[in-house]
Amino acid sequence: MNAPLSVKSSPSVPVRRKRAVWTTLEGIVYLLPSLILFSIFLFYPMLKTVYLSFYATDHQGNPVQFVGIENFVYLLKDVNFLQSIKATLLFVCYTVPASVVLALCLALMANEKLKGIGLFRTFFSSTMGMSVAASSVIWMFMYNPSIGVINKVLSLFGISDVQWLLDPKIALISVSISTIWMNIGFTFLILLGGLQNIDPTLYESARIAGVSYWYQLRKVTLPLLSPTLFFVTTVSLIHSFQTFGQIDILTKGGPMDATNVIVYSIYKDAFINYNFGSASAQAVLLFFAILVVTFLQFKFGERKVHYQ
Amino acid sequence: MKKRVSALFLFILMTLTACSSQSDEATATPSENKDGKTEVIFWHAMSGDLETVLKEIVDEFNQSHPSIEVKPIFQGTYEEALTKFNTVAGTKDAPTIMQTFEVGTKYMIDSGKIQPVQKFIDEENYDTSQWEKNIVNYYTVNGKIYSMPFNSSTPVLIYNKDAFKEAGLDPEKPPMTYSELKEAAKKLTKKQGGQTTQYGFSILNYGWFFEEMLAVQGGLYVNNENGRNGNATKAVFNGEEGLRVFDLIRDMYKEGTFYNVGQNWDDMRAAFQSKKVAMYLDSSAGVKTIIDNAPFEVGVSYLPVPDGVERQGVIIGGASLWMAKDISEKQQKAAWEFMKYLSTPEVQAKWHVKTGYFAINPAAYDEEIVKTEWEKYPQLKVTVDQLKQTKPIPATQGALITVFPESRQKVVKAMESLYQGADPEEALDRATEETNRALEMANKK
Amino acid sequence: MEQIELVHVYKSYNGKDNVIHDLSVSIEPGEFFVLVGPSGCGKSTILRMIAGLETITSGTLLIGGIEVNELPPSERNLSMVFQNYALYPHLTVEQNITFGLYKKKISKQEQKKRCLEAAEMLGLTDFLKHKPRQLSGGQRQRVALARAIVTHAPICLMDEPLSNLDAKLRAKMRSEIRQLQRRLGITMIYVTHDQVEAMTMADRMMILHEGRAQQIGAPLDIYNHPSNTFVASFIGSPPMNLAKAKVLESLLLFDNGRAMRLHHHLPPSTQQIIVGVRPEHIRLAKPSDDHFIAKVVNVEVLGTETLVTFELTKNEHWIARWSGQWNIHAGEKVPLTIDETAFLFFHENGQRLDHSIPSYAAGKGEHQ
Repeated sequence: MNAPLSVKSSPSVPVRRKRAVWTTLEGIVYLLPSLILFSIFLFYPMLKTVYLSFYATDHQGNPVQFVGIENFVYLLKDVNFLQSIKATLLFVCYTVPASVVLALCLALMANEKLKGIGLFRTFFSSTMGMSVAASSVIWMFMYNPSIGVINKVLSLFGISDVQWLLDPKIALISVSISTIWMNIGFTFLILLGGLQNIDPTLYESARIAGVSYWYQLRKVTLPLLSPTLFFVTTVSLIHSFQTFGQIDILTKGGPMDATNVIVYSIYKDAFINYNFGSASAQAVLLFFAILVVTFLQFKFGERKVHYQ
Repeated sequence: MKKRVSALFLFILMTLTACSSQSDEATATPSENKDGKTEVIFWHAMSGDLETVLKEIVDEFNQSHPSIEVKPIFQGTYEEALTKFNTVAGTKDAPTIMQTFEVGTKYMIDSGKIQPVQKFIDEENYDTSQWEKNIVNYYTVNGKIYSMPFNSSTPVLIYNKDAFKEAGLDPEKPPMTYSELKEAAKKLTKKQGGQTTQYGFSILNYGWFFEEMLAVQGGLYVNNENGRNGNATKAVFNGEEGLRVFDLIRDMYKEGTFYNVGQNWDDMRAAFQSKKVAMYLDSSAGVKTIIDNAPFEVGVSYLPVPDGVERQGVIIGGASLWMAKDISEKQQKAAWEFMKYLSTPEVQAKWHVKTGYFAINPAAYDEEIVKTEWEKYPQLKVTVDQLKQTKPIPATQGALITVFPESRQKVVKAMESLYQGADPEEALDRATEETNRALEMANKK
Repeated sequence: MEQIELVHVYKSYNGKDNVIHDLSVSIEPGEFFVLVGPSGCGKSTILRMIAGLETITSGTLLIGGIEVNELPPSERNLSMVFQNYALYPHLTVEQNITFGLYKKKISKQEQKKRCLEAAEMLGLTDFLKHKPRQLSGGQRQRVALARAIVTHAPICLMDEPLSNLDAKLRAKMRSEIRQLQRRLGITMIYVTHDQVEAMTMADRMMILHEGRAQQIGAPLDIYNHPSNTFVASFIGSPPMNLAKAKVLESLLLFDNGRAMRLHHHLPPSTQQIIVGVRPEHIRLAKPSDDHFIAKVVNVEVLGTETLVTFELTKNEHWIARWSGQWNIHAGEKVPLTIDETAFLFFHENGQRLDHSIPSYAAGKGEHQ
């Protein structure tokens, strides 16, 4: 009686444990491809950046001397870096609200059921199909003070030449304008998608109640669009902090560092001046800045978001 | 289950090994290709018309040297190419020959990844005295020639002859001094209503022009004889010579005769061709293209000097060719062969007339094509004459520092601040201080 | 309370094909009027035209005798309940109920009062601070009703308001809505595809098919006197039995040679006609009755009644509905009889033949 029972029960524990090990292993195997990719392209560079930020490096980027937090201390005292922070913050303030608001206006217009609205939807979202480089070059020609179309048009109205990209007071705004133009396609498309997701009977109900357009916008559209708005704002914000292409093509950080945003400053420091340590330190600071901003946005912005 | 998991593992392993073996193949640069030719990878920064001419020359070399195949690869601007070189230097991916601009000289030497060409010069008793002496001057460091000069240019004053006539100026007598420059610029500046339709003069916001205007007065950029007499430790370009340049820009900008064209070479040339500016400074390498494209007659002249200052000459701009260190003897030999070919009078003559870079080998000027071309484009000769009259002093030899790109950014920023009404002395002092800090950091390494 | 009148109304979306054809109907004040028909028949379109959510392509819509074709929805003085309730997910029940009242220049106090009234009426008092997603389907339905009530509009439109509820709740809400309408005395226009809802709730109803009104009238009138075969088969469950037949003197000849002898009510025609009989009029024959023998194909015993499917002809199966529970099995042959007065006759094209008048009284009497 006993024999078959013990035979049955004694191997069951190791078998079960073995199976658990195999299940875990199998799970890891499924995760392996993404783990490998993430490690190579994300985790390793991130850790390496943090590591390098504590070192002085040679021209190949090899750490030669541990300097502790000197890179950070110097940066925080450096007027050029403070200028970069200022330029970055201004750039974010110029581009993010403007692109979201403009794209929202366009999306609200394009959401109306009118004849030929598909054409406008295509127009408004078309900038999404343009690369940053291509659009920057187009804007560069338009901004050109001698042969650019913008000044030509302005001169028709008797406005004298504006040095769009050469005047430190205007350059950042000029870059922001072209950036807003580039961003609008994507933002518009996402917002339009959000608008079209709103149940049309909610609007019909509002029509029967007879509320005004603005009341409807405030009380129905915006609250229901809030998850989408929150998404595009967060994405635009992060995107804006990381802007590089248009700066490189339009101004190279100039004039007088007016458009030398942090990402561009990192690039210059690392790849033109070969100060990998200082560049890494800037990258780390930027990382934390974006982290904090995103965190704050989730903390305060998300309160106003209504998920359905 | 077990089988499936191990199969998965196997699959992943196989993919990984497949990837790595593939990349191995891709990175390997065999010294010989399939046809048994020695392959020479040549990284350069010549774009547009220049690249076309360079490719022609390379093709001719490949045809006349059946055992060698040179592969020219464009790597962006000098700065970009240097950045790329930096990441692969010392690996299998490194090019056999690397073209680097003049201010990268010290950087290349310090990298330790290059083979000085002096070795081959000594082995073959190659005669460097046939080269332009100023060029030898520039590329001789510690008595050694490290790289083979290739494309050299100098700054010149380019002006619109038609505009000169219109303004009542003699198109054959361009301004040679600062006061003449200011005078001419005033006459050339045209206003319509409240708008200036034509400005007198312009300088690109680029450190090279400042360095040249400093050198032409005999001013040094850094201490220790421009860094040629030991490592430079301090920037000295904020002396009276530098100040004169900044004062000139400030004064002319204030008078409304100077136009700010920004940092982009193409924008500057567009401004000249669209008659927005009547005079500007350009590299001699751009002369040919400008003459061909401008819808008016173009004049070329020397760099102006301050009144009462003796002209010392100009620094060699442009670039030289560097040889990689960790490659086979055979490849080095092939690369050296190509470098020598480039310095021959015939090739240099062709290079000169097709681009405006001048010949590093003066014998090229006796070639027939140069003579006929000079008749057609007398302006090309000006660039050569200016270099010939240059005195071999440390100022015209050019500064030797690793942090040139950074220092140039600081100088550009200082130039830009002039248009915002900054005090020239303060602006210059600040750029000097920032360069000092960069030098200090670099010397620590 | 106002009368609603549609006069020769057409609707077309693309300018070519009409989805509503020449619709004329008058809905009396205080009436519970049901628009019923299969999906795609245009009933919702009619409702939305009355609401002003769709334009009227041609024809006239009058409310209280005034043409309102061009009037925006908010000025037609009506309320509407949508199939999916159209509740605002980000607003509380209270805010949902009072949404839009501000437009009618109603004071905050009055709004509050009306809201509480409506909530009380519908048992929502405890949920006023809840968000819609915290409510059950039935509760959401009530919120939508409350929102219609608080406007005090004399006309209320409902678009399949019960179709998202389970059967039990639906039955309950049916009577609640009906009671509410009576209590408030409002004019109700109610759209449904469910003929049971139509039968049980309507004062009058209109049956629609492919954009055309088939019949308008009180539910029982329509049940007993369907004006065509579509109405006959759409109303009633199981539907009316229909079969093609020929009239030959006093004989009804079906396919496959089955014949029935009628004594009085035959239509004066020898053409092909369609014969209709409600399932409850087919009885098990007593020995004395004229009868025919049919083979039983299927039997469904539902407790209170039994549905017997039998072969009328080879290809045509009819259903008989007998009250009580019957012990009959498929395959058995049973004698059946049909009251002569229960026969309805339709023209081949589906239209009712004029002959039917005498059977009206008989049918009515039977049901009372």
